[in-house]
Amino acid sequence: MNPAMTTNTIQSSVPGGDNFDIVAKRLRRPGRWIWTITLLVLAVAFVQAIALNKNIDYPVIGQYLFNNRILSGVGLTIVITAISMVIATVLAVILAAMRLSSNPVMVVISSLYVWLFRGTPLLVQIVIWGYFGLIFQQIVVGIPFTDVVFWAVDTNILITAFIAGILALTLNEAAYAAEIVRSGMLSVDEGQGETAASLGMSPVYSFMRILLPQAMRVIIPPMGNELISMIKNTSLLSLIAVLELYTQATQISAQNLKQVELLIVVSIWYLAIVSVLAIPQFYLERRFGRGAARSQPLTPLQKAKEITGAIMVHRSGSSRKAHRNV
Amino acid sequence: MKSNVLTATALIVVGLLGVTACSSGAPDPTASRVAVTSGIDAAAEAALPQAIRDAGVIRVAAGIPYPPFLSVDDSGNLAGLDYEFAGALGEKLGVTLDMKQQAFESVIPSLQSNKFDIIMMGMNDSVERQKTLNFVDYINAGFTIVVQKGNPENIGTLLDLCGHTVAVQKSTIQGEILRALVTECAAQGKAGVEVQELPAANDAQTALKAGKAQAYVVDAPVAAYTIETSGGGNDFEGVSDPKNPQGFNPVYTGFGTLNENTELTEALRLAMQALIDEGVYADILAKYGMSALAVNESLINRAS
Repeated sequence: MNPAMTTNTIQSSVPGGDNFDIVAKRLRRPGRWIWTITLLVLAVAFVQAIALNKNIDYPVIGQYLFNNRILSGVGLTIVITAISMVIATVLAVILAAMRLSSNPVMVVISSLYVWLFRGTPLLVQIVIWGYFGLIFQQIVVGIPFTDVVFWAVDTNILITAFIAGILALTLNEAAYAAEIVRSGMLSVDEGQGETAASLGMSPVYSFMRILLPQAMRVIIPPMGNELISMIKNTSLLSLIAVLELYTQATQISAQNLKQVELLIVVSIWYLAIVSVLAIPQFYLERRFGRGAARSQPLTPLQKAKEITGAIMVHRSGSSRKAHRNV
Repeated sequence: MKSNVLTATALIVVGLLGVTACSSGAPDPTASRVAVTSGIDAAAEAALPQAIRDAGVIRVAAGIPYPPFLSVDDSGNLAGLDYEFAGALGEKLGVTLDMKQQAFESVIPSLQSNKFDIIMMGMNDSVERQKTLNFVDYINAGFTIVVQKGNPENIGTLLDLCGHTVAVQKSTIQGEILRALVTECAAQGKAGVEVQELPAANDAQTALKAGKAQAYVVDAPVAAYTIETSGGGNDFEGVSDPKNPQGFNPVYTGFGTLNENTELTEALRLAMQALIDEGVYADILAKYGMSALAVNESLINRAS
């Protein structure tokens, strides 16, 4: 930029001046630079404080990351999460359908269920299921209000710590998920159900084939959140001695007294599980979003194609991206 | 569509079965024990309740791990003082003592809900607990005050804890003892002890290590293990009572059974007495450096 031009610019900015040959100057943002540098310095200082911390015994973390007991804990955490989440989702759909049904008894029962299981702390529910034998010594299958008993079993034989954990997490999660499913249902235009009815579809059929698929788009992102919460909530089962990841880690640290190191091992595993689960969620969102959004986020494969394509075609990549968002 | 639902249900059922099958494959820690006693004690065996004799198993609520009482290796094999006593008592009674993990704070409900028959968790005998439990007392130990290496707060006696935060495991007798110090502290013009009750012994140690508490009070045997193990012996040191080789405020520690379960209590007492008589008891204590904590006779509910 030469001095003459600068003068020119100043003149042109005078109101009423007839010279509109403006040289645009980039807006200066000194604040942005200060913040960027400050945050980077803090981030580096934080990493350094952790990495060079004498109170953390890094070899111990490496030693226990793939320890047999930790791995079996990871396995059990995944198994518990999977079982609880699958059953809870099925229950949630049933509860949501009950809540939206025209039968007042179903509405009340579904609402009471959600009220009870969402209104009490998960921790309390886990302890109650863990010691269910305190309330009912036997679990009996029979005809209510009669002496007819088909099958009876000691509560502690039926409800082991593992089953108690599954029950607590599933029933609690079903209450939350039911509300998510219901909100998904409400997001579907009423006309859809009316049209289905006018075409002669039964309420159950239109629920399964018309409403639910459209509701899935709204349901999936919050359910992804629920799944992540569930994975971490399994650690609460340490209270009733289910040998999941956190319990295994605390048992190891109770003996070698390396609490911090084992907490780090546990955190690494939870982060790893959560990171892996982000992948199916992305694809599910894409699949159920098909009918709604104009453009879908690219899969990694498509992105790779786009980048290689961009290199080959040179410069056309950015214009293609612009088209996609129209 | 119907078949979809059926398949889903079938998958869930199969999944559950699969899991149940997996979870029952845990190693049996009592499988390969070498006998340490002269075998079954007829009187003790005869005293057992019929239900237990039929089952052949006494279900033991244990703190896994609670070193040195009980520890576990990477393959799930148990070891420790209580484990050895469980084996020896089992030989005397002709049954297996099956030790399973149970959280300490909810151990009494776990007996009441018939999950377990007895408690072997290094539990202190107390008048309060005797309202629910009978104790077959097997050691007499006090507590040690564990402090950070170098004893920065210069704690030498129990009353030096006045005005400090002290970490203890939840539901332990030590919490009660420390809270009761408030009058003696007041007599010296100091504030009472701030007791921080944490779920596990491990948490109390962490609180001391992190400086959230100035001391950690625990049974002498556990304290000895903690001081020796944590940070390779460089984290903590112990303050003991010069007047009492067993530690501050010695109390009896026993195996707990529910009050109504008198037959089982008596059977355990007789079996323990047999172990004391034939010297196995002294051998086990000596192995864990706890000879100073020995009792001379197997008695029930000695706390008063």
